[in-house]
Amino acid sequence: MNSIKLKYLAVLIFCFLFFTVQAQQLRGKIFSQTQSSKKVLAQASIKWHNSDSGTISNANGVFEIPLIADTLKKLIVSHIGFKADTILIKNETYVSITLMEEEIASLKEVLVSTGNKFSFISSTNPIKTEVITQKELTKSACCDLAGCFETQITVQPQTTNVVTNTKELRILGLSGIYNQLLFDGMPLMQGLTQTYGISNIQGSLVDNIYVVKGTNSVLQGFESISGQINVIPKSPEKTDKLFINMYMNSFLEKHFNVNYANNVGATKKWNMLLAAHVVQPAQTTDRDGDNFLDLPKLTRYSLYNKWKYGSETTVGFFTNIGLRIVNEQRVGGQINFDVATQKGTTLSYGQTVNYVQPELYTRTGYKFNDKHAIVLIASTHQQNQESYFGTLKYNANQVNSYFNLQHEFNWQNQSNLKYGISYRHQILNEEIAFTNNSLMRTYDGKYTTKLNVPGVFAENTTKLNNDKIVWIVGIRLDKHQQYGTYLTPRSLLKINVGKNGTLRASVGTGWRQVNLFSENINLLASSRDVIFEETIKPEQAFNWGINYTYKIIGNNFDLNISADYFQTQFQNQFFPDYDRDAKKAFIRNFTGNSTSNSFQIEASIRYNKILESKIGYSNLDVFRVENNMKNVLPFNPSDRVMWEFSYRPTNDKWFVDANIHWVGTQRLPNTSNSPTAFRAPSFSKSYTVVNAQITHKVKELEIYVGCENLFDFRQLKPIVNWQNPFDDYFDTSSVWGPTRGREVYIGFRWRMK
Amino acid sequence: MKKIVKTIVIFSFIVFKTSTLKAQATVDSIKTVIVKVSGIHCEGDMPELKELLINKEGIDDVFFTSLKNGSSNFTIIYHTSVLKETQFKAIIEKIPSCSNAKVFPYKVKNIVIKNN
Repeated sequence: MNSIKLKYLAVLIFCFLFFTVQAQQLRGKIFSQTQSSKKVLAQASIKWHNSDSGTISNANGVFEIPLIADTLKKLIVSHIGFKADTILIKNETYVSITLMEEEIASLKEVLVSTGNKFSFISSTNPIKTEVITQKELTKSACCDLAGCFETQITVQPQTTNVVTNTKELRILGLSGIYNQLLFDGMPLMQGLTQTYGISNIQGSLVDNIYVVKGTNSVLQGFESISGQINVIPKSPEKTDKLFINMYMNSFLEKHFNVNYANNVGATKKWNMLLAAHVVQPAQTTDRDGDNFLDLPKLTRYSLYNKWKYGSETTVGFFTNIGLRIVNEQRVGGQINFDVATQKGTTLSYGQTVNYVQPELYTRTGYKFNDKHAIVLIASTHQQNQESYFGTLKYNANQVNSYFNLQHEFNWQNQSNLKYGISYRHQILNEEIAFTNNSLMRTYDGKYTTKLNVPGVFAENTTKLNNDKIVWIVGIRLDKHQQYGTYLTPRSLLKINVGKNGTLRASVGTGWRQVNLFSENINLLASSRDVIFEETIKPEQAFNWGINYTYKIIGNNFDLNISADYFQTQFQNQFFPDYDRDAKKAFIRNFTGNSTSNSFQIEASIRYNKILESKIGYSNLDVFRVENNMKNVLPFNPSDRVMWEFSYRPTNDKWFVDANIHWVGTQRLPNTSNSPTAFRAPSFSKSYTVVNAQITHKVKELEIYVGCENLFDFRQLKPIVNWQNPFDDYFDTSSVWGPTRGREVYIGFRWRMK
Repeated sequence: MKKIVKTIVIFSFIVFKTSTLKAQATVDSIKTVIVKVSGIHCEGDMPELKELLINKEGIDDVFFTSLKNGSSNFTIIYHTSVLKETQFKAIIEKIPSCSNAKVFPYKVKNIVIKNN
């Protein structure tokens, strides 16, 4: 009797399980209803109410989402520019949903959503791209671009001149000049504009930062040897109507930012963003008693204006036009240095940099249909700089222009071909003079660096096996005005491994022209003479890399694990040789073995939208081989660890963010030829820096208080021979750690939607 | 007692099966058809036709072959709960010409259901 019961029970359970396991997906299509038409809506967000489970509609408006077990299934559908909708799902397995276009007047209400993500690795992009979102940038003060990388490990900001606080952004342990810096996809930071360019973009203007390591697309040029950093400013149609941010730190440096966005014109089809940025200088601070300012006095004024019409994803005309002008003055040096009366004199040591930098760019095109589009990308920028580095006067003027015309062609439904022509122009005039030449330096004079490079390029993206494999093959041919033709092939592959894994590989070459003084500003700041042994040729390198990303999305959590390895090998590289003679820097090409090996692993977890934590480890081995000796490049920590933590309670009122960076020992420049008093140890100390911030939100107002370098670790007296700044061995570039110590800051953000 | 248990089990199964069948009747499935369309005058018509089809409910994707003798094969991926293959003839033949909204030049020559 019992056995029969059990049998029947087993049959019942089997039937129940069998039929309930079926039909677990909800499929559907999203449409947009405007005044004139009803069309499919791509990139609409579809998610379950009270759940993390969500998806995005594809180019045809189609989506598929796992059904949830809740008895009350509410599906929330939203898209920028359309009124969000909530649909109750009963027994349907297919639904069609139409979102109504928002009235222009209330458009901003929907547009201001910044999303839930902080930073993430794009799972759709065939190129491994780390996206630092606007939300991530609010975790720290992020006053300028160099300060926006505190919560990740890929980019390493490195001080190149401590007196004027000049920094570069290193990727794969290589100098910042080897990664391509883009602003809104435009090459606006090159040569002279790169030196101070990474500091003059205010964090409050940034929407997202895309960071790519190693080889990437050929479309944006032949450079980007070690990677690419693309800074995307806020989009006029998506951002807040009015945004105000004020910040002040314990050195009394003040930042003021205001952004205003609106749609304009009778048809309201144009959107405009106007952003102003002002920095006022800090008070005089010298905590380590070396008679030099711990941070320079910085005064900056910047105005940015962007206009946008149409969209690249819809048929018809679209354009983006950007305009920016920056005026900046930096004054550093001895604490009693008076810029008005003492610049260029030996009365007191000081460095002053004063420049004006106007920029203009556009990305304009026409999408004919799903298959064809034509896009013009053009930019021009200029920089006029007047500066003094002690008794060295350095005046420079640079004009850059960039033109790129490409046809984008979707073919055989799975491939996208982009091909076109480009032209790069740069002229950099530099004038170096010594107001006092007791050091007998010999390199004063006028220098002109030109770059005129016409090029052709083509890049094809093929999607195979239901988009599980994406393969990009690109090639470009560029003609340098002096050194002839350069062929730049690149290839990138992305393969979805199982349900959660993504494997990416990249290989390719890159080359770039050297801008000697502007890219090696420490040459001007040091007392060394510069000896030219050879004409500098363009640098060339080969890079390959592999990455594996594993992602698990649960009901309450997201887990991401990513590991990668990249290798860069230079065929020709330039760097001043500082080791041979402590009083001189020798300029020559290096064609021997110069290699960078980089390994990085990181894991991030996000729990219930409340807690987020990320830990990363990076190992660098950057060296060159000379006389059969492996010389590790200075200022590269072989080991670094970063841990980051964020807590955002559901009441959305208090946020806590903290990050810890442990930096291992770094090889320091060889000073064995210097007198004993100026010799530095071979390696720096390892150190730890802790940063923390608390944010309180009251409606549209966010007040934040934070502390950088909480435990006040400092490299004391970083300037070599600071006692005698006009003598030999004076050097401002030997910086391996924080120099200004603990920095407390307070600020607020207020927005009107 | 044995009879009672048996009856309950059979009754439960019938009820469960009936409800499942009922549910299955509304369950959606994805199918693919290849529709041969004639009356196409230029290459530009095909993307236009594709766009018009994609903007219909129940159609996930559309692919077309290159133009040959005024005809092209359109592969249409669709949902059975929304559309039936017989409806494609009416849908396509009601699409006006790209150049003249009063002319309906497209004719469906045949419809082949592809085995998924």
